[in-house]
Amino acid sequence: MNDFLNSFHQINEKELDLESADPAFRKATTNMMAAYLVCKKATAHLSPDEIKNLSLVVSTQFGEVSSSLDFLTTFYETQIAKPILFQNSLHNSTLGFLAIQLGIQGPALTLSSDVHGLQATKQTAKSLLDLSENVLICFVDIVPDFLKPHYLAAYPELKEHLGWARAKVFTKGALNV
Amino acid sequence: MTRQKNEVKIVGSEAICSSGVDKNQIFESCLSGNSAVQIATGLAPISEKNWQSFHQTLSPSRCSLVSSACLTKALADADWSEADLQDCGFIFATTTSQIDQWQHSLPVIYMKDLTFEEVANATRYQSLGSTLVQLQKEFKITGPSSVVASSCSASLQAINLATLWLRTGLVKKCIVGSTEILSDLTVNGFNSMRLLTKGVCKPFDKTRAGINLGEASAFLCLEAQDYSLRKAQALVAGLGLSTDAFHPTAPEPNGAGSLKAMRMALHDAHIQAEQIDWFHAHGTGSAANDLAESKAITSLFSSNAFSKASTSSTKSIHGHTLGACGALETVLAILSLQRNLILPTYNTSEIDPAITLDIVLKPREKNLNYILKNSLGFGGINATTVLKNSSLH
Repeated sequence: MNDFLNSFHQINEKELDLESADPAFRKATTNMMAAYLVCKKATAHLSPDEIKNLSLVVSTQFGEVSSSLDFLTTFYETQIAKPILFQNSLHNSTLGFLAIQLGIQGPALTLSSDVHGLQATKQTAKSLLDLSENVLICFVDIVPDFLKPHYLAAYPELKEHLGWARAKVFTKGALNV
Repeated sequence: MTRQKNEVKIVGSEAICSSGVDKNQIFESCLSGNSAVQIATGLAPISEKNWQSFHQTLSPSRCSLVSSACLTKALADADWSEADLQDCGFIFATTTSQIDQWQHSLPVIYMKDLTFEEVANATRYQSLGSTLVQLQKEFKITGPSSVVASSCSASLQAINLATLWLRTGLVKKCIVGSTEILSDLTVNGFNSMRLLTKGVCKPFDKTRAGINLGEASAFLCLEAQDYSLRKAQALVAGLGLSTDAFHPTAPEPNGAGSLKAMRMALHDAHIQAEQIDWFHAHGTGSAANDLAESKAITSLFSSNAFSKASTSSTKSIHGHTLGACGALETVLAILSLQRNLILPTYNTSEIDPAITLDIVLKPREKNLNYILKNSLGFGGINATTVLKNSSLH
């Protein structure tokens, strides 16, 4: 059996127009915005019921690192802990945002599998097709510019990945991993 | 797929937390009500004396230290050799991993005094998956691997994902582990959301005022039915996963998402709600969680049988260990199945009148065939696992 890759969309951080974003997204992080834009397009062919029952895998190496560092820097400098920065600092916050904005109520996992990221995400998506008809995979890693050289020094293989959000929808069949 | 093939064997398990350095110590603390929560801070850290007993591993981080110690014990408990670790699945769950290695070096105010190499080294620890990669090297574990970072549901999701891997034949055996340490991010973050209590938490109590954060590591060794003749400590009989799509940090007030996950798990296990002998609840002690989860459990029942649904939370003893709570509490549930004892909710004296379940407040002997374990997490992520007494097999 073969997989059915139904759709694929991607966006680079340079293409994001945050200034004209919907005001409802004012508390969203850049990762959330980018992930939403590609996932919205990738699921456009699905019915509302199919989206509701969709499985979702968000795969991210560094998660919401901007919010984490903003939270810690603010706290260390002022002793003030900002709840919105904490809420947005969790790796899982992008998944929660996507579920709310798109109406996804099926099985959903956030993965951060280091050097195993790509393979782990495919294996997880394949497993979730045991529970639902469709699975949406979103890779997203938009990180602060000042950290990119350090991340690439530690993980050279991320060169084609940092600064991008990518979304794919697979339909039940078999995901070749 | 037959019902028997759906069930996965748990052949080894171990845990370390503030309440003990092995699962039996923790279980005894939960039985006797010996809480490790520090009054005044409301935190449940692993003691310094215990930290000093963990041997040095490939990484100096506390997450790696306690993970290595706990995994060593779990493998011994399973009687797994190096050969068993070849082609062995490994799923780790964490929300902060080795944060102690970068929380004081990567914020901008500290970075300016560091060299490029020092910052690059700190970023290696920033990836949540770095702990798993180190454990794979240390223990020579080869096989498919993944790191689940789905907030407080992470490790119960990991158990469910491992079950899927075993059912579908991706692997014949799989390690599931999770570790959380206390950090400036989590302690001050939860405090900023007014979710922490300085006293001991009181799950399901009318006057519950918040959660206690704790540290923990827990590992389980899972096998497919046909991998070995090892006796199972318990069986994973059913799994459920769902998403609220409601709010970034609050559960859907009626527990609709958790209800969906529990129904999925019961259906998967081919049993009815009435057959669950103990609902080992997420039960954090927060106003919103306990009410939503209670409503969800109540809604599982078509009659008023919910009033007999034995339900409790052990978090007032070991605290809320975030991503590790599902694995830690599953290890405790396995011991409960083996000893036919329900662990109670301590510190609760006046049950919230809106909660109409049978909240267990004292240790209770009961013939336990099935236990349902719940986790709910930020992002509206719900996970449920149904555990079955291996003597029923």
